[in-house]
Amino acid sequence: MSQMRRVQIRRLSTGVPGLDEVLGDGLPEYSFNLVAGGPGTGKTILVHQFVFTNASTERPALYITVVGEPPLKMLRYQQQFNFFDPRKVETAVHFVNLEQEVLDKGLDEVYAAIARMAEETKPGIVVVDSFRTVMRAAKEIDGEMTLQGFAQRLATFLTGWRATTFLVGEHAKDEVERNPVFTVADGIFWLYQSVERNSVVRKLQVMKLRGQASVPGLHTFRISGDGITVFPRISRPPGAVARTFPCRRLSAGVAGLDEMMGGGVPEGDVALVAGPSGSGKSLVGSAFIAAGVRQGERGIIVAFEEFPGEFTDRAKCLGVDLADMVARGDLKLIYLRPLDLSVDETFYEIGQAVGAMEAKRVVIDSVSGFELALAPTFREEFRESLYRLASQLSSLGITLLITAEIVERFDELRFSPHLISFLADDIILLRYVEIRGKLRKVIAVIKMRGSEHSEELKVLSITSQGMVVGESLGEYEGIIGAMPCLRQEVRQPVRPLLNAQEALVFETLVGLGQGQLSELSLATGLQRRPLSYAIDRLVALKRITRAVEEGRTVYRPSPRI
Amino acid sequence: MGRAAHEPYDLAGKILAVEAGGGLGGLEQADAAERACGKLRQSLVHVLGSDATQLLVKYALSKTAGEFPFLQDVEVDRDCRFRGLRDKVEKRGSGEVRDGLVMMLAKGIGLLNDLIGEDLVCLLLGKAWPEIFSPDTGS
Repeated sequence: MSQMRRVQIRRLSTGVPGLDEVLGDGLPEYSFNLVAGGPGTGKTILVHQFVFTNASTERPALYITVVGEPPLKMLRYQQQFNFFDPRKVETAVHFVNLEQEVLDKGLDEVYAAIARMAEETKPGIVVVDSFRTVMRAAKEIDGEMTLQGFAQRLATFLTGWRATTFLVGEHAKDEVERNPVFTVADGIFWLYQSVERNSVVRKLQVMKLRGQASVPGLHTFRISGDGITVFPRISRPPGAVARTFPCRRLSAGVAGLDEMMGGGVPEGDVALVAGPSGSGKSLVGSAFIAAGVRQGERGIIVAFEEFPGEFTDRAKCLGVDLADMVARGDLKLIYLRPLDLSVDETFYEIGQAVGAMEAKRVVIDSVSGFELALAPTFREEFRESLYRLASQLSSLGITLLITAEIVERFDELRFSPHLISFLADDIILLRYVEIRGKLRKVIAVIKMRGSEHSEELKVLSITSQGMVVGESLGEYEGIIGAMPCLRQEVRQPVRPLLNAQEALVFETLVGLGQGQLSELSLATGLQRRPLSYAIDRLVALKRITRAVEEGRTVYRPSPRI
Repeated sequence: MGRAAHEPYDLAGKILAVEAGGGLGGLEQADAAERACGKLRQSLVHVLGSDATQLLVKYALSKTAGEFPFLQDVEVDRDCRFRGLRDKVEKRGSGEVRDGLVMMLAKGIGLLNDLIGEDLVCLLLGKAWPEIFSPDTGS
């Protein structure tokens, strides 16, 4: 038996950025769709955007307005959007008003009027806005045709005309169960708008879409001069690759830090740089990007706390010329601070930039600013969202560095107030400590997932040439508690009752076995007089012996010691 | 499309001239204005609806009547036909009638321009008077 050939459903691009991805690669041609939601949620904008993207003289659109929004006003306001092309009006997009008289005569007459308009314009796209008004009229009139019959006939008729149809209306959620139009529709799009404190959040849900797998859940969207942009809920993006181990190590760009990390940041890792205000977190991020750019890897910095100019100026003072990288196209600085962001929108921005630049390194500065920039409703799921964001970037092979501000508490070791250290593969901690009356910055590598790393705390210096990891603070203890002091064995002489010089002479003599004054002076570096004092005291304490042999004075450690 | 070519008053003058077909008398101008409003209605009604189209002509008439009193008490029906206009223009000079009717049409076009923009207005009116809006005419 020959293989059955399935019907190929062509999909139309909606012209709404992000929506095609949510739908599963566009909207099925000839589908019969319902766009529902409360007033002001963006239903008409969404449909107009689709219409002006897809309508042409070969595939004209018939936009039927039904009382709800006066057509005069609709034309007036919709043309403010960039997608509205006045040249298409009356050539590719035909606006037609369905008169009240027609509605008053019932659904038979409405059906006949729509059919008549469709036969005249032969549309490839039909919009009825608002269909709610048609339904209201149907309830008020006891016509021969029921609403269900009307919807079915209309759907069949318009599909027969090869029209992709949108019925736009203000519907309540409880109508889904009892309104027959929802049953007839091939696709149902629900638009929401919620206000929390001073933030407005818009969301879209594809409740139903026959014949293809849409991305479930609520997707945030924004309305701008370009119309609607949908930010799909983060899912595994196309182009995602499984990581292979061992990973390539990327230079962190801070002298000495790569060694502490066991060779650098593993490619694809999520690295968390935590520290108090002014400890150098942003600079670590800038240095990380700069190191990538030096190796031909483009980067992105998502700044939530500083304006781009401030960010680049400050980095330049500290030896990192970000502005130059931006000018050369090696770096994109994304500034997000609207206070009503969603994580999905943030990812969309980053994703767009990553795709456009083929970036390999991304810095988020800082996670605290990120949380503040989110609308309150998204803060509740901040950790989960950040986890999704990190997973997304990691799956694209991008190495992500996140900075987190911590309020220093010296009785414990904390890496983030957001409890996000679990998602970090690597954690670098910056702290302030007082050493010999000076406030010093220290750096430590706390965690490197699946990799060895330094366990030392080291001094971190910020100079006009950049950051430098300095000497180890191995002689100190209590650094985490911010009260460092020399370790006992360093602070006190090895030998009780001996001062430093006496201990030095004694240890030297133990090492040599025996020696004359000149040999000890050479080995210890002590002048003759202090050396003689030390020796006399060691002899008096019976730590060493003095003997004259063949006219030479020889010293030896006491046998009992 | 040059903006100067679509100044409402110029456009209205052209429309009235086209509809008058060379007739210069007051009654001929009145009939021409009624035909113009009929065509205007035909172009707009399917987009704007009957009510909005009728309101547009009523607005234009009422805005002009202050300056041209012969337009006072003229009524507009749902099909944008004038009631009482012919009677009012009979005893008026044809120049005054023409000026008043052009002003009335210009007010209507001006309102449309304000509401939906000149580009859309040209598209809609271009269907009714292609000879005025065709590229050959320089419009």
